[in-house]
Order: sequence, then structure tokens, then C-alpha cells
Amino acid sequence: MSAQRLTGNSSILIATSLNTLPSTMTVRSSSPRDWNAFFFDPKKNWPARLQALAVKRFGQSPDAQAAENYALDAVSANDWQRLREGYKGRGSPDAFLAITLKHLLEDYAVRKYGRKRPPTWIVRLGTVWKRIHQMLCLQRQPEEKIVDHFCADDEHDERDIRSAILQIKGRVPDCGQYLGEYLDDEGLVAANTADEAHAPPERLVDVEWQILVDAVREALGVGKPENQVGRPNLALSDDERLLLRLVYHEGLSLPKAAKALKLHEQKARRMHRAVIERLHEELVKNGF
Amino acid sequence: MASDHQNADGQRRDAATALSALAEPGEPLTSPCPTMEEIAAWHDGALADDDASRVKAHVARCDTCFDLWSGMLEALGEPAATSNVVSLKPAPWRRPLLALAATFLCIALLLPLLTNRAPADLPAYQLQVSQSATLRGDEPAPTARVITLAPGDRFEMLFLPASEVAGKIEATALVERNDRWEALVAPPVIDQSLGVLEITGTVGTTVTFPQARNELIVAVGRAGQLPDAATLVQALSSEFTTSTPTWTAWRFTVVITQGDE
Repeated sequence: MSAQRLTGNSSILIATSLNTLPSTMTVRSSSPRDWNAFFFDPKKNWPARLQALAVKRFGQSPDAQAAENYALDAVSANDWQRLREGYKGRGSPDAFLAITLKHLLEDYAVRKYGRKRPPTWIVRLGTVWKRIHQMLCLQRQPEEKIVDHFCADDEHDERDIRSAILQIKGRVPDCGQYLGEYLDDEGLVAANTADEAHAPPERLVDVEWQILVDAVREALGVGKPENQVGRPNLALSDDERLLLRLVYHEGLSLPKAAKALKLHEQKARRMHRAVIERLHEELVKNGF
Repeated sequence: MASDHQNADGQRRDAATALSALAEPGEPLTSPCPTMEEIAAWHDGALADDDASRVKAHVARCDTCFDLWSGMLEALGEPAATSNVVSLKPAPWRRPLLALAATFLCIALLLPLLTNRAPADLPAYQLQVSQSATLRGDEPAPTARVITLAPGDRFEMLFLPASEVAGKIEATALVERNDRWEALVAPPVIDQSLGVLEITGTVGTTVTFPQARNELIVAVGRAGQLPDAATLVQALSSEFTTSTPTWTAWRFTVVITQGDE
């Protein structure tokens, strides 16, 4: 069985979903044998989820549609081979499908824009900054469009996004000059397996650390420190790091971050407050 | 007001602190990247303790794996068609789409007659929005919760049930004006036989919005089961959509631009 090919029109997605409804009623969610039916099950609504994921990743741009099509092609190729062979039954098929789609959207980005990485200090500031960098410097999207993308759902403060754009414009000299490497399919395969894709996180050199601190403080209107900020010794537990990354890199609310980590909301709030106070104290000692 | 400023300043200080702290990657990674299935299984709590600790420690520090996991969280969020995707549809598709829905629903509607069962929960709804402005050119589809329109634009909001809707339904559309919620000038039209809900209008003529940026709530539910405006507003205070077994509601932002710019 092959995927019911979607050609880039959202209406077709939904029409296809409705058309497949009767055959999906017997799908067992614990171990789907028919990934085509699982994907097009209207109750799960994966085509629309994929579309939303692509828009969130690439903004309202032709890339979002192209990435969506690319991911659908890849995931459904050879009778959904990627899912049939990758999923061994651990965890839910929904989670495996979700992470596979996310991986394929990132594959598309590599295919379209090569392996051009943002400066390390931007990488270390997390997803929002990385996406702003991609939209601004690689996709060359206008500032207003970027602001609209991040502020449309009120998850982000417009001032923060504009400030981040200014910081990136001011501190990334070649922003907008990169033309991308349009890789062919062979190149894409190479990109998928490259060690670089799974490189361990880099420790910032001192100059980058200073750029990051200055950019963050200016973007958030906290003011530039009078002296250089030293490198503090900041130890974070896994839960603390994940909680902070979800809130400050991904822009999740504390309740949503708590839910993602399967923590009680009050516990997450206490953890958040305690770790922020501890970190702030340590940073202040170092001139922050 | 002063406390608001202090609160905002505090949040900014917290953000600056967290972002600076997270710039340090922590202890070097010693384990290879887990497979995608392992990350998904860790999220589902389906790994043994040792494996779960290993995967969590890795995801916390590895940018690639963290991005995969956070992307997975996004995808596993609210179902998109009933929540966070507003799909553009060219007008010619509307009729075939309705025909497909009608074909399915006619079949589905026979089932309760044969089995004599009570009406089931209200099904999920597929949502589509089209607008003449975006159909004219290469404008991208509207984002999840925001619909941008210009004066003179004709728009259609179509809510399609994903399965049979047994029994009568009703719907409401509310728009915020001066901190009060009032009925939209163009009320939803319901096709009871299909359970389809439709809101159409032309901005500035058949439908007027009070401000440049408007909050719009649309709700559909079983007859007599729709909550009042205050309940809907409360339920949608932080969510794009919310559902109960008897009703579903969405909240949109409708931005009215100044026309061709």
C-alpha cells in the first residue's frame, strides 16, 4: 500500500482523511500494522499535525509546504518502510511517528540550506534564536514576517523577538549572504548519517560567551554589564536543564513544560524558582 | 501597574539568567545519541530506569536530540485540524469536499438506526478557512490562530465533523468588543444533516469587526449543551481550542489590515 499522495493542497489532506475513515476504525494504536491507515486516521489527524509542525519550523513560507511534502514522501516511501522497520514497539506509535516527522523536516532543512550552522552562541540560546537566525539569515525573510510568525499565537513578546532580530543582525556579519547548498538525494543521505549532525554540544569560547551575555542582556533590556562577565560554575540536574530549556529555549509555559516532563506543576514551579535564584546568585558573583 | 512592571522586569531577569546559564552545556556527553525510538519511548515512560536515566541525561545536553524531542512534543500537542492549523482551501475544492463528507456521513448515519444506540460524544471537527485575499496570489496559508483579512475580503470558515454527528447541534460565534463578548454579525450556519458548520462573510459589508485586531470564539455543541460566553472565554483563556464530550470551541485572532499594501 502506498501513501495517498498529497500535492500541497491542504484540502486534499482532509478529503483524503475523510475518505479513509472507515478503514481506520480497526487500527490498533498500540502497534499499527497499517501505517497508512494510522497516518490518515482522522481522529489522530497526522496530516494536519505535520503541516503545523512544518509551519512552526519554517514559518509561513514556501519552505514549509515543500518540507511537509518532503517529509510525507519520505515517511511513506516503500510502504512506510521507515516506520515499519524503525518502530520496535517500545513506547507509543504516535511518539515514534512524531519524532520521525520532526527528523524528516530537519532533513529537509539540511537538504535546502546545507549544513550552515548559526554561530555557536546562537545555537546555545536555543530554538527560538536558531529559528530567527534561519528565517533572517538563510531564508532572508523580512523582519515583519518573522515577528508575525513568533508573535501570532502570543507565545512570545514582540519586543523580545525584535530585539533578538536586532542582536543577530548586528552580531552576525554574513547574515543574509549565505546562498545555501542545494543537495541532491545522495547528498541528503550523506547529511542524514554525518557525524556532524550528532556533534556534542560545544563549549563556548570566552569571546562567544561574552557576545552571548551581551546579546541576551540587551535583547531582554536588562542592560549591558559594566565589566566582562566571568564564566560561572553552573551545575544543573537533568530535570532542571530540561525544564529551563523547555521554558526559555522553546517558549513553553511552566504548566506545559511540567506536563512534558511529567512533573506536578507545583513541583515544577518550585524547581524553577529555586534554580533561577541559585543561578542568578552565581552569575552575579561573576559580574552579571 | 508598578507591580506589573516589576513582574515583567523580574521575568526578563529570569530569562537572561536562564539563557546565560544554559549557554554552558554542562558535563560532556559520554553516551552516543539514543535512537529516535528510544527518545520516544523515554517520553512515554516505556524504558527501564537505567535506560531512561541515560536517555534523559543525553537529551538534556544534546542539541540535536533535544530538538527532536521538543519537535515531537509539538507534534503530539493538540490535534491540528481541530486546534492549531487553519488550512487554506481554494473555493473549487469545497464542493467535492462536502460531497465526500456527505457520502461518508450518509453511511455513518445509518449505523445508529441499525443499532439503536444513544448519540455518541461529539466528534472532532476538521477546520478550514479560505479567504479571497490569499486565494488571489501566493500568500501563504494563515497561521494557526490568526486570520488576516482586508476590507472587501470574502472568507469562509468551514467546520467538518470527522465522523457521524448523531442528534441536533447548535453553534455560536462571539467577537470581543470593548471587553465584552457579543454575537458575530454573521452567525454560523449549520447543516444539521451533515453536522457541518459554516461561517461566511465579506469584511466591511456583511461582516464588520470592531477593531484592527479582534478575538473571535466559535463553539459547536449538542443542542442545549453549549456553555455561556463567560465559560467559553474562561475555557479558552490560554488555549486555542478546548473540547468536552458535548461541545468544542476555538479561539482565533482576526487581524484586519488596511487593504493592499
